[in-house]
Amino acid sequence: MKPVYSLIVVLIMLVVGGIIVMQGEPEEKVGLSGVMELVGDAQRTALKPAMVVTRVSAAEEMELGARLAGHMSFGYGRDQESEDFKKTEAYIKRLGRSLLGSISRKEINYDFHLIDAEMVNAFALPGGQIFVFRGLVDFVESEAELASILGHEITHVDARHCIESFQAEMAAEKVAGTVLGDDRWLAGMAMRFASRIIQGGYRQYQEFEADARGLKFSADAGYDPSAAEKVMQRLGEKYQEETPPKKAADPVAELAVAVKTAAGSYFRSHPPTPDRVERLRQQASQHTGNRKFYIGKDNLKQRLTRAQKEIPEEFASTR
Amino acid sequence: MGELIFLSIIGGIVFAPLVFLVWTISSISRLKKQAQYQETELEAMQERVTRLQSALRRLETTDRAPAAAHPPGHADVSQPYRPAREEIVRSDVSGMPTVATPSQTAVAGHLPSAAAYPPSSDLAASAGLVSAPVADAGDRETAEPLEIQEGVMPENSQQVNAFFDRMGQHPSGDTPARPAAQPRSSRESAAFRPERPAASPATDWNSMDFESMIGGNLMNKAGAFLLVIGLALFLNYSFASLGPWAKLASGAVFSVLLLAWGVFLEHRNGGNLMSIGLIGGGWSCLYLTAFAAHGVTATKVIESPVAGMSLLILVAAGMIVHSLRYRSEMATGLAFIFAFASLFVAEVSLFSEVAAVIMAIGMLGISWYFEWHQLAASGLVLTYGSMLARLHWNAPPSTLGPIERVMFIQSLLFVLWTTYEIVGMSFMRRNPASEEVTRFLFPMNFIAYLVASLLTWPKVVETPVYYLAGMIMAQYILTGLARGVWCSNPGEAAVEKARFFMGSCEDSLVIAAGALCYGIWYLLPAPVVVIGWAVAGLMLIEVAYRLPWQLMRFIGHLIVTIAFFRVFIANLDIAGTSGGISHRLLTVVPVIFLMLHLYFRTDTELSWEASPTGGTRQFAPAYSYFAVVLAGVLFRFEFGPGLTPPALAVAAVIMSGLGQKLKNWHFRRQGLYLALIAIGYGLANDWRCDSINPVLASPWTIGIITVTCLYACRWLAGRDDMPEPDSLLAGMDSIRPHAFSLAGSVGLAFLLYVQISGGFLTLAWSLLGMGLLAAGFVCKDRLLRFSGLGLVLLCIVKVFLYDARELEAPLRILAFMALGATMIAISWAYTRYKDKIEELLK
Repeated sequence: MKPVYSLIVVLIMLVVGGIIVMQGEPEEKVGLSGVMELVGDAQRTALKPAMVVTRVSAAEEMELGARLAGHMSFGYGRDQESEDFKKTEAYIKRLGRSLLGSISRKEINYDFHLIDAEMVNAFALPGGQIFVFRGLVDFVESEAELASILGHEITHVDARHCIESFQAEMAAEKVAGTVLGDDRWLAGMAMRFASRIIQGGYRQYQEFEADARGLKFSADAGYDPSAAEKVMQRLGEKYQEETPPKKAADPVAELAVAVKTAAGSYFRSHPPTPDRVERLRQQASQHTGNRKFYIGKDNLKQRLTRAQKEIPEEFASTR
Repeated sequence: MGELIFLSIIGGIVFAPLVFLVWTISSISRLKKQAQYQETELEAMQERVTRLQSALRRLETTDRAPAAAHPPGHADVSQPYRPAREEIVRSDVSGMPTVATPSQTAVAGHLPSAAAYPPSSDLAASAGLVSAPVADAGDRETAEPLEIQEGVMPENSQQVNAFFDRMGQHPSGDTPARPAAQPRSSRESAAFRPERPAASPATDWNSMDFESMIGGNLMNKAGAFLLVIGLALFLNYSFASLGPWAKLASGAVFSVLLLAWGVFLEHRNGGNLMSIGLIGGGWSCLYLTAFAAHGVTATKVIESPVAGMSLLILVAAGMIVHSLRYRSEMATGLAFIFAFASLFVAEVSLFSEVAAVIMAIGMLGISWYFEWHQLAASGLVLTYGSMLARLHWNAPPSTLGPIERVMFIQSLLFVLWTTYEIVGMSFMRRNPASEEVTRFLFPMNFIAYLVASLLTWPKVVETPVYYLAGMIMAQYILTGLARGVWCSNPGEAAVEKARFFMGSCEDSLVIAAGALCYGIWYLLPAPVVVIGWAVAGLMLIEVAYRLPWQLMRFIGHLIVTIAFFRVFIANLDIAGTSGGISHRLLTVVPVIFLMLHLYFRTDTELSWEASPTGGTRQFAPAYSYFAVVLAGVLFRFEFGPGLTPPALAVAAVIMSGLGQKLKNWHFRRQGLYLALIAIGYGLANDWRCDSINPVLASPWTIGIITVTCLYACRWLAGRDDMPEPDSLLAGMDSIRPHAFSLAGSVGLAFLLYVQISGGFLTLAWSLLGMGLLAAGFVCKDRLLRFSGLGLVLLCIVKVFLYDARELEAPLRILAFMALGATMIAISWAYTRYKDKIEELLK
């Protein structure tokens, strides 16, 4: 092809592409988050051999998880022994187990716990120990939303996010035990500190992965995929994340702000909520077709899972 | 009456230091002159004594009786030199031969004694004027030149004097010659520019000591400068007792006095720094006074701005015309410095700024006419700097809105900029190959204009900065066209490769392109900025190819490179779709094609060394890598990390195939890099994909597709001819096939690892090992065979270290048996086909 023809083709592509994008109200997002994701990918790849070598068995992982769960103490609330609390905890357990059909590590035995506290949060420990705060149960508006959150925490276990945080520490203690004896915990602590720094680059990737796979778990279980986006949106509004900066005065200032923001976000454990909401929306939009998904608002109120009581009005079609 | 007294006091305060200064300088000059004259005197006297001695010796050798009737000849023919009144004898006279000292006659009457040198009351006694010798009354004798006959003893000293006078030493009655008198500067009227007078010895500052230099040179300049400032402060200070006319009159009178004084000194003593400084100070004070007539509230007597400006122009013209007489770049420069300094104290207004601009234009016109390059260049700094300083210290009235403020300041800067552009072009046109400092006028003007504009631009919503960018773009397009039409163009690629940014047409267009890029950044949405920059860079490169302009080409490449990096900041992690296509795809794909176009475009060019116009062929490989990198990251963000491995693996096959077909080693290497990144992503993700498609979500699918592509690359690489190992990269090309092979084997083994566990994993690995071994024999790939053997060895390790401890009995048995069988089979194969294997190993 002659240069002039390729020049014309390229110019047309550039101009047409630019015009189309401008017509679609593009997102004004300038920063190094894309670069940080690529850096996180490189870190994961580089650490993979070490993670494989130090991998522990499922039994060891569950033992560790049980031991850690035994240390969990949140100053049990006054309603710990009430019927409502017990009913809610049972509901959580049943709902959680209903989401385990698509997991990859079948050897892990999951156990779900309810914590009687107002905090709107949930977390996972190695070996399948999932903890949900009562404040979160009160915060969600449907069973589908709660299922997406449980699926998120299940993914942290299924994808080895939790155990990998401890693998380096455990391996260091094993190796150092021969030298330090009972003081091998020092080596473990040092390795834990180091792994926090090294793995900090892809913690946000793990959150994105947990969002995506958790949505998949709940969708595979028949729950509405859009529920994840909705609950995440409300969480972001509740905790009022920082507002995006204004447009910089010149390109150099723009780059400086981007670098500063990226540096500050390296140790951030969770990505910005708007980004998570957007990705959940895109993933939910992939579930097209005439399939109907379950929402379960009344199920949540009654503390009865879909398997226990399926309400026809709770079904919703996909977009 | 009170005003008169006040004026007298002020005048006294102002004049007194000046008088003291002048008196000090003149005293120093006079003393120096006297010292020089004394030295000359003493030398002359010593010579005269020597001649007298020789004459007396001659007389003594002859038998001349009359000589005895007289007192010793020494006494007659020579009288001791008696310093007259007020003489300062500095020389050491001990070397002089002593003579009898009857005081009858005074030979000194005919010597240009120190007494003859009049005590100088002349303030400019620097020319060494020596009046006619005035003999002491007591020693005066009627001096009749007397003949000294040959062989006849002179009877008196007069005869001796006459003798020597006839010999031409001291012609009697003549006025002694002036010691080192300097010719007066010619003051003939000339239709053309007069010669600049040479400096007198008295003003040879270089030969004076440090103290004199400070007192004479530095004091001169500083004193005139301070005088001007003092006058400006005086004019600006409002006294209730002084009306505007009185203030102006005092300023004018002072200015005229300085001028007249300087001219007088110049006429009397010839041109020197003192007179030049006074003249310069006088003109600048007069200019300030003319400015104050309209521009300063306290002295405003002219209401019309036109009249005020006309008066300024008139004074400026007079200053310029007067300075032309001397053809002194320094003098003219000093005058302008004083004038600019005087505006510092004035309040900022349109009038004051116009005054500054008028001065600048006048200064540049003179610089150009007389080819005063230093004045033109330093004037640029002076004009822009003084304008910035004025605007910083005395900001325009706050009543001006942002738009009015921009129009006010930017108009002035524009006029300055235009003036310097025109002057720069004129210098360039006159001598394109000039090595003078004015060849830097173009970049200096650009930087000064840009900095001044940015510093004074109001950063508010009503006046976005891209207005300025638009103005700069338009200005430099126009000036670029003007340079192309009117000037010759130094620095063009067709001429030489080294002179960049010296004021050619392309330099101006490059600046315009830079301003355009800023405007693009400001006006377009963040994801579309990369499109705008890519278009701008591409157009610059294509235009520059046809001209050819090397600077523009480099800038075009630079803009495209910046656009490449811009993608990572604003186009990767964005949401939004149009017609179901993501904005990321719509913006990045055209840029990828742009990079490919530029790759093929620059690859056909000559290199920098080979091309007389500076080729850019060395940029070609960079563009191919830009395209591949963008494609890779696009796959990552469009498909997610789960689908990235097969996507990149397919891209690796394409690049390897293209590289083989086109015999392009860059493409081949890019294929290898893509393959390695694909396997890395696969290992990091455990071959998992979060797609809702169950087929794609399976690690088997992802893994098998990726590994298959890797082996396809291995097959393609096996058919390549190896390049000459002339570089590190060329040396690494030989391991490409092995890298593909190893990556495929590792990927396959890992796929089994994540999908199969326990004893079945040992079985699977051992079968895989056998398969790799067989494939290695078929394909004659030694690394494949080693991979198979390695996997089997790994199985042995696993069996003993893990399976024996962790697995249950049935699985443990299965593992051991499977591995054992595999190893026996391998051994059988090596034994059965030993000959063929040996043949393969050769």
